[in-house]
Order: sequence, then C-alpha cells, then structure tokens
Amino acid sequence: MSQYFQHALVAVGAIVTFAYGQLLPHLFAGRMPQVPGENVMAMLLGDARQEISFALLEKADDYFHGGMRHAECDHELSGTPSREPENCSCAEDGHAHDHHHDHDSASTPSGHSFDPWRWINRRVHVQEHRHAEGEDARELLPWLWAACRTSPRNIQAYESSAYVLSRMLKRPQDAMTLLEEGVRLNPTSAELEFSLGELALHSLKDPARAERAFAAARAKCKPEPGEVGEDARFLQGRILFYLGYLAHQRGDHNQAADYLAEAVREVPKHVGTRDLRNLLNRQHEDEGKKP
Amino acid sequence: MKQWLLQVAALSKLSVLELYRRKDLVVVFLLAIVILLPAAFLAPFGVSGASRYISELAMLLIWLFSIIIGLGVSARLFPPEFESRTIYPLLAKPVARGTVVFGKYLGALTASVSALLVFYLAYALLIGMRQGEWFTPILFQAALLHIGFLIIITALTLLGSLVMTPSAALTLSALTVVGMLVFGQRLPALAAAQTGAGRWVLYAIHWFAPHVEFFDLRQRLVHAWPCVEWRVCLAVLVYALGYAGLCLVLAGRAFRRKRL
Repeated sequence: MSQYFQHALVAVGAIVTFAYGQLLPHLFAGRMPQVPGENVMAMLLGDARQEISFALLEKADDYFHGGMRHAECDHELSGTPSREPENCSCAEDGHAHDHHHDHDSASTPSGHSFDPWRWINRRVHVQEHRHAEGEDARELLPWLWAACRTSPRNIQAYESSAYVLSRMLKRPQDAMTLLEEGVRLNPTSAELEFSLGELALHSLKDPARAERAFAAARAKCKPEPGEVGEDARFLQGRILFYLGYLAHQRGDHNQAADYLAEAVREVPKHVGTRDLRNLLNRQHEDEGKKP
Repeated sequence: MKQWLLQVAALSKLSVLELYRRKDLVVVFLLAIVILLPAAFLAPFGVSGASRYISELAMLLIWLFSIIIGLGVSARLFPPEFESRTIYPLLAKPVARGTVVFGKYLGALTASVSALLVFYLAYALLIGMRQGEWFTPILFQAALLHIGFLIIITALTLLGSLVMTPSAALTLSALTVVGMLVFGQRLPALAAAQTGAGRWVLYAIHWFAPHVEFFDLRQRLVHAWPCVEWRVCLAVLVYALGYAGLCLVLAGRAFRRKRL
C-alpha cells in the first residue's frame, strides 16, 4: 500500500515540477536570466562553445586529411583562400602522399642512435595523409554540423560547411540554406555575405543574388587601420572586384568604374584591383577598336 | 605440469566469474548503446551516409571501457583478498605464490579480453550494417593489438596493486596508460625540445614506460588505411608479452616478499 502511495507521490511531484517549469517563464516574463531563443547548449556551455566549435572544426580538418592532423599542408578545408598562397608539394590527386618525412629512419632527433620504439610507432601509426574527395566528403559533415550547431558565431565553420556541401558534394542549394542561416545568426559578418555571393555566382549561376550578397558584404566590411584590418582589407579588395565585375557584366560601366576607383583608393595593391583595372582597360580597348 | 595448469585454470576461473557477477559488462554495454544509438541516426545538413564518426565514437568507447574494465579487474585481484583475509586459505593449499599471481593475472586478462571481444563483435555488427564491410583484416588486427594492450595494462596494474594501495595503483596505472596513449608517440620530440633534467626525465619515460600507443589502430581502422605489416604486428605483440612478463616477475617477487 505504502509503495503505491510512494509511486503516486512521485508522479504528482513530476507533474507539479513540469507545470511549474512551464509556468515560470510566464510568471517572470522578461526577467529570466536566459536570453530568449537560446538553446540548452548555449545555456550550459556559455562562451566555451566557441572553443569546442573550433575543436570540432579541427576534427573535420583531420577527416579531410584521412584522420591526420597535418599543419604543414596548404590544402585547407575552407572556401576562403589564404592571403599568401604557397603551392603544396603534394598533387591534388586524392592519393596518399607524404611530405618527405623520413619514414624508415628511426633515429633520434640528433640522428645518431637507433630507437626501436620510434621505429614501431612510425610503422603502426599512419605517417602520410590523403585528401577526402567526392562522396568521401560526407564523412566531414557530422563534425562540421556539430561545429555550426555548437557555436553559431563560428563563421569559419559555416564557410567550411558551405564549401564541402557546394564544391565537394555538389549540393549548392543546401550550402545556400546554410549560409543564409549563418548570415541570419551573424548579421555583421561580411565574410558570410561574401561566401554567399561567391556561391550564388559560381555554383548557382545567379548574378543578381550574388550582387545583392556582395553589396551587403561591402556595407558590412569596415577594415580597421593598420595590421589589425589586414584581413578585412583583403576581403574588401575581393568584394570590390566582384562588384566591379558584375556591374561590367550587366553593362553598367560607370558603376564598374566607381568600384574600381574605390578599390584604388582603399586597396591599391590588391590583386583584385589589378584584375578589375585590366578588365575595364580591355573593355575600353575593345570599344576603341570598334569601327 | 598438469597439476600447475589445473591450479592456474581454477584461479583464472574465479576472476572471470567475478567480472560477470558484478555486471560491469552489462552496464558499459548499455551505456555504449545509449550513446551510440542516437548518434547513429544523425543526418547532418540533411545528408546521410557518413559513418566514420560513429565508427570513431564506437572505438573511443571501446578503448575507454576496455581501460576501465582492464584496470578495474586487475586492481581488485589481491587487495580484497588481503582485506577479507581469504588469501590465507588460498595460500594454505599446495599452491606456489608465483602460481597464484599468474593464475589471477590470467583470470583478469581472460575476463578483460572476453569483454573486449564482445565489444568488437558489437562494433563489427554495427559497422557491417552501416557500411556493408564485415570483419575486415584491419579489424582483426586492431582487435589483436588491443588484446596486446590488455596484456600490458593488466600486468602493470596487478604489479601496482601489490606494491601500493589499490586506489594509488589504479590512479597511477590510469595516468600512465592515458598519458602514454596521448603523448607516447611524441615523447622523443618533447624530450629533444627540453633542456637540463627535464630532457632526461622524458627520455627515461620514453625508454621505460609502457608504450601502449603501439596498440592503438583506431586511426587505421576508422579511416580505412591499410593494415600494419604483420612483422611489425608481431614485434608489438612480443613487446607486450615481454613487458607483461617483466611486470609479472616483479609482481611475483613482491608477493613472495609481502608480509601477510
């Protein structure tokens, strides 16, 4: 009898707790410590989410390299090119390759004595790396998804995920949806708008959508003076190139010239500025040759 | 010889029964299912077909649980016998102390390996159903080297439980195992980067600590790299047997000298 009473008591307690939990936000509307719309992850982890998200992104990068952490390789898992691209010595062929590690040597760093433990380790653990290609890129998605969900502020996670979806898995529409979500969650990010523009232009062949995205990126990109703003200035150069190119494509040469003038003023040494100048000069030359 | 084998078998059987009586295996198995089942149905960004993440997660759990079971079983071989004084009737029988140590070790190892084989069987079924690849050679090799890992850690913990308190033995063994799994490969580079005494301490750890990272084939298994050369596999197993043999000899000496 007392056991039934205990069970009933537990059930009543659970119902009361549930009802109280539902009632609390209504009773103290606007005075709850949580930010409206935040999920459980945000409440539990706080700012640590960003670090966890970066760790998950690194894990995705490891998967891209066949499970190897490979800092020496220039083939990064990202749609964003590095500012100073250096050619990786490895070919883009998807085959396993190494960066000239001395696989057979089991010598110590000083290079004198034989170390059997090192010899075994080098044979048991994979020393070379390979790049995920085609359908193999699916394996990266769980980690990229987790990186995006853990911290919606991780812009690089959105960029890399969009890159994998659009370029490697040929799913540009899914990439577009993801980038739009990223833009919604990071309204000040010029990088995401730029990625959206590139995706619309190259994969979806939608220049109008691309131009809107590049224009939004231009409005959001405000480089700080000095070395701190170097990355933003590089991005600004690329944005202005695309805007000038798209204006030129739709025949608005004055607008294109305005973008070139802005690029010359803001980022005169940028490769995009040089390319845009060449493009517009060719246009003038072609017009001059016409009878 | 036959008498000795019977004694060892009887002692081993007790340790195996102990593991299954305490239901450790059922608990960790249920825990693994609770963790893996929701993860198995994940379709990130609406794209299904990824399976390496689940394979990696499953292997991580297998390693974690095998460490917990291996250390737990071997650390509890002797201390409860000393506490409850059941060691006296055991030693009153015509059994050499060395045989007791070896028999109990074999029992702990058999118990840990049997649990490990259950885990690997479940893993093979999980991956087979997801990827359509059943019992690949690399899986066999990974399981074999994982047994080598258990051969070392059970012997090491058994030795620790005879020369220090059970909790100290368990903590120190766990630290050694996890530390070597994480840093074992990088010890020479870490030592080379140090100066003074730190360098020699790291070199000493490199030469004498158990290199349990030799037995970790998770990366090859999860990312479908080729098998390790069989001669290397054999060398690693010989290392495991040698290291475990040394630990058991020292454990036998410690047990013979122990004042009961």
